[in-house]
Amino acid sequence: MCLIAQCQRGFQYTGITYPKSFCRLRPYCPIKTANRPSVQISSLSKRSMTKIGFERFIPQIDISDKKSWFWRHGVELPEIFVPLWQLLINENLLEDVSSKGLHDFLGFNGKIFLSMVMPDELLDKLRLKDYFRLVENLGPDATMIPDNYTYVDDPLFLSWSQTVKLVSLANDFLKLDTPLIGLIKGSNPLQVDWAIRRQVEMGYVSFAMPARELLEDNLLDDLLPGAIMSLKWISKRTKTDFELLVYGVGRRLKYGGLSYSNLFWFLEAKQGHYFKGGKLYSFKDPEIRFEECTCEACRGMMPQELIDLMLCDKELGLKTLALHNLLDMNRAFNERKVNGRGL
Amino acid sequence: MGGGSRVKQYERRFFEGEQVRGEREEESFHVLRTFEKYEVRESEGGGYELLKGGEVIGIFSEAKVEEGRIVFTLGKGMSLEILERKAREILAPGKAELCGLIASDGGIYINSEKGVYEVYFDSEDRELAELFINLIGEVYHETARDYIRFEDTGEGKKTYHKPRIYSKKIAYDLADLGIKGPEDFEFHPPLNHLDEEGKRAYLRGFFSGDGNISMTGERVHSIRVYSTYKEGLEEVRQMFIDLGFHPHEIRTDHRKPGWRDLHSFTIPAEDHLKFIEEIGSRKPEHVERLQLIKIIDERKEKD
Repeated sequence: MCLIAQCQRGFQYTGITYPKSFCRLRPYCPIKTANRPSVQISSLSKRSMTKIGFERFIPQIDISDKKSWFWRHGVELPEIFVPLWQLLINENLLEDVSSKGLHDFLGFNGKIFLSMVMPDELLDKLRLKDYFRLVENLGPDATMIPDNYTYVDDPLFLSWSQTVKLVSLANDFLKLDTPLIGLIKGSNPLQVDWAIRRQVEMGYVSFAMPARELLEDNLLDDLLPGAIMSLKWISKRTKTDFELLVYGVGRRLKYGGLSYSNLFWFLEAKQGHYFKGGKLYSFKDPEIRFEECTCEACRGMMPQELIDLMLCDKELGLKTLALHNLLDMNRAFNERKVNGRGL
Repeated sequence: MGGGSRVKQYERRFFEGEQVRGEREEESFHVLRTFEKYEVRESEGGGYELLKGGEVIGIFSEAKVEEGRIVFTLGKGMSLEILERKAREILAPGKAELCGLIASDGGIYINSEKGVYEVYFDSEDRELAELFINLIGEVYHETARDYIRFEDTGEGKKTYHKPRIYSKKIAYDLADLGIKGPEDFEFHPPLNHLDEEGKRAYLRGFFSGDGNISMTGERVHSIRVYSTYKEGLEEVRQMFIDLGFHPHEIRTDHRKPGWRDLHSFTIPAEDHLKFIEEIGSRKPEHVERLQLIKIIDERKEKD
């Protein structure tokens, strides 16, 4: 239900759109009246950007848990995502990382991307200058623009307010020198499409779509195809190439041409789950339990031997399982099989 | 991070028995109950702490204090039961009833290769299908969908309700309880995770699917529980005994070639009122007959 459309038809809601002088939608109201002109969104800046060049799979790491720092164990992947919220909830860690910068702190030689996807209570605390200070101190190779929250079961004016805020912050972030990753968010296809178009106007070409909760709530298929279609349509008209990364999803989706980033390889290892062919298995599953794996981490071990290893040396067992999951997931996402049409 | 449903996200983040440490240290507590190995204290600001050997091992927002035990609510339809010498995870009544339904006329299908994780229930009764959907919603906060099929049978067209939920989380959670499979028709009640209330709920769910009430003579009824899997049925019968019922021995009916033997036991007439009060059924046909039995038994008592 669009409250502005309702208002145009004569329906108003006390406390939200009534009385008119206190209407909460006035900052966005596109309707011209006798007393005032329609609200025009302030003009957006523009910056020329090039694609970040996402790999098919970019592992997320847990910066507070060194067991997820896979490069220390000989596995080489060119890009990682570091979630900012993990630093925000740990002041000492944030101080330490801010003083050294992400590259020196992690000792990682590839590209480090900063993820701004974070819990709502943290989003509400941060102001623009906080974001700028954090990005400057951490020195990532690219950063997402700040996240927002757009829930399907909120009144639409809330998700629209958040979507406008997202675009406004995307505009402010153009002042940063760091390469930028746009965000695809919205509680319905219209909001998603609007947010994409405004960001493309500003010059964004690389996008990330936080998708974990959408997938859990069976809503991803309502929004992702629309986002892909919007990007394809704009790409066709403007002759610009875009790239899209699905953030927080642990399996390959039916749409082609997407990149993925998640921490599942590590989280599931901590739960004792084993990946094979990009699919998740319980260690107890007889289908995989006695099958040897030839990946760099397992070197011929079968899951049963990993169980035995965990019983002897829990740390070593967990490390081996996490690396196996990472390598398997990377292989699965990089397979050239494309089931559906994508970007 | 916010996307999808705000309500569901809130439930996922805050109602899953998360342990929160840190700032609570300054709050004041009073000891609610001391067990041999555990201590439970209540915070003035709300919430309960479970301690073992003086160390906090869990913080919970809800607790049910009963004689001889305390039950904390966890996520996914589970509760933590603290007894004098031990603690165990038990099924909340809703989840126990769901397990009973699945054991009778449902199942869990996991195919990791194809990425299919399905929990299903088949019934001719819309009420039972709705019950399955409601219980999935209550326990997991997810929505199962009812697929309705019309099939021609010798007795005319019949409507079958086939509610299903496709969720890896739910399929693994239920499969880990070992309630159904791995063989066809095999089922086992999760006895280690059922308290008395849970056992009653499980039996209610199971009886709704695999129970039968029939009139065997004038003003004489038979309450029968049946299954093609004898070991599971024996466990169900044992649960009735644990709850103070006196079920008859299991008898086996050999059916025509190609059909599995049908095993069943009956609840004796002296336990019928106890059955109606404590167990009951969700199947509308059963509910009507149980009401009839109650009326007849009450009249018999008056006579």
